[in-house]
Amino acid sequence: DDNDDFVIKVPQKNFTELDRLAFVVRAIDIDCAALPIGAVKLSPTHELRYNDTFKGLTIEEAAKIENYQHFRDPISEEKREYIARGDASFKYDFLDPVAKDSPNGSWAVHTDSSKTCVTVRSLLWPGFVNYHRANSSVFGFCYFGDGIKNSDLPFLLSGQ
Amino acid sequence: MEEFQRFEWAGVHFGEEETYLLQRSLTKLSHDTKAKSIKFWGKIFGSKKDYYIAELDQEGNAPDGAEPDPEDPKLEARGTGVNQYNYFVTNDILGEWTPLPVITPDQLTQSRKIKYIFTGNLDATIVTNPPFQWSEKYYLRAQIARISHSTNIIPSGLWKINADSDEPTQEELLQAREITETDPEEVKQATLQQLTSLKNWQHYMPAILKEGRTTYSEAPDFVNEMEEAEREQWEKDRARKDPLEYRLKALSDDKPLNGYKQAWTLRTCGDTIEYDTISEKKEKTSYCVLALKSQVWPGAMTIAYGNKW
Repeated sequence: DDNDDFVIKVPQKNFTELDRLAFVVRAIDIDCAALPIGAVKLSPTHELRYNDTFKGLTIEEAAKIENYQHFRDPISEEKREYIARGDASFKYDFLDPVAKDSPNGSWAVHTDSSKTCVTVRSLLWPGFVNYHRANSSVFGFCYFGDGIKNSDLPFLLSGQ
Repeated sequence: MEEFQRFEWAGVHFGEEETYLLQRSLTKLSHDTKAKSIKFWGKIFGSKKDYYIAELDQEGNAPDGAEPDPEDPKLEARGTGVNQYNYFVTNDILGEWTPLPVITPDQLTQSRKIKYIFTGNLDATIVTNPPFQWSEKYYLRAQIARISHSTNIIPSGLWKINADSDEPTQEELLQAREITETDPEEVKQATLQQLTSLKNWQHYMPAILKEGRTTYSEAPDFVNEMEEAEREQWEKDRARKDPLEYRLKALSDDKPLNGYKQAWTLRTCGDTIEYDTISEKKEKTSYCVLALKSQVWPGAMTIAYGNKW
């Protein structure tokens, strides 16, 4: 008796903190999660795989924001075409680059005092950290914060 | 080292290596400056480099290499008010510590009006609207002063207000600025139950007035030439526009920001059961760590453990 035109009535529900939490986690993930270039590769069947031969970036390379890319489905046209053309299986930079994020300068790259680890911190979502230990395949990201976006950021960055 | 461990329970930690380097660096700083006491104040993140800040009690003496104090009649002298402690800052724990200058009321009032992300370079110019005339070094010093005076807290009962009379009125309590330590004999060891209530924590340092000082500045000359009644009116007006806060104000009286219910949150971490101690006083002790986080200054945290904090 199932009718395709049957309109499903969603039961009334209050907007809970759980909904907000789910939204914030997703937003942060999409905006901030990043990897060093070379950490993942696209297989010929267009599957994303971790790169087993990734030896890590050197400390000089890791300190450059250009060597990081977003861990999400590419949004920029350039990268989407790149993948559609099939060139992506041969190169490692087929995901959106972090350096092109607007506003310009919303990422802070820090090398720690032992000069082995690099953290790339987001200024847009304060408390989000991408980390990478140079010359090793250790990388990842983490968020410690109150889930509030720093919407004033474009006014605070003065072209430093 | 022990203190850092307690902070780790509450969730704030630098990591073993950094903690050790920090300890060594602070020891060296205390030897070089021969300060009466030294405390690690905290770390401020910057976009290019971070700041590590140490608070030194040098009893009103200027540290070597500090800038000369500016000529400002409203400036609170070193060792008093907002300039009670000297602050040293460094970008790299393995590097040298630089002393920060004293803070003038003008710098404090201007710093309250702007929002700025630190870059990590002390000499960076700050371009904002409304304008901040000085470099990042002064903004950093102003923020340190504001944070210290808002978030330095102690359990109640340990210090009391030095009022003139035995039974002070509300007015006298408000005007009193000095505090003295309570006689240790009279202090009752606070139980965990008491410490978990915000009523039992107080601000240790005086609040900063709108003027940018902790006490009212000298009245200008034209006021001193007024008649008694007029002068009193002028001072009443000033007190209305720039109200004094009580010394030793309880945390439960702190006004929260918009949208927040309280200005402070309290967390207990670890074992909260109270155990009897072997001492004669029949005190109870607990091994949990109490963390008090400020919502007005996110990142400011006070830890209480056993009878230390």
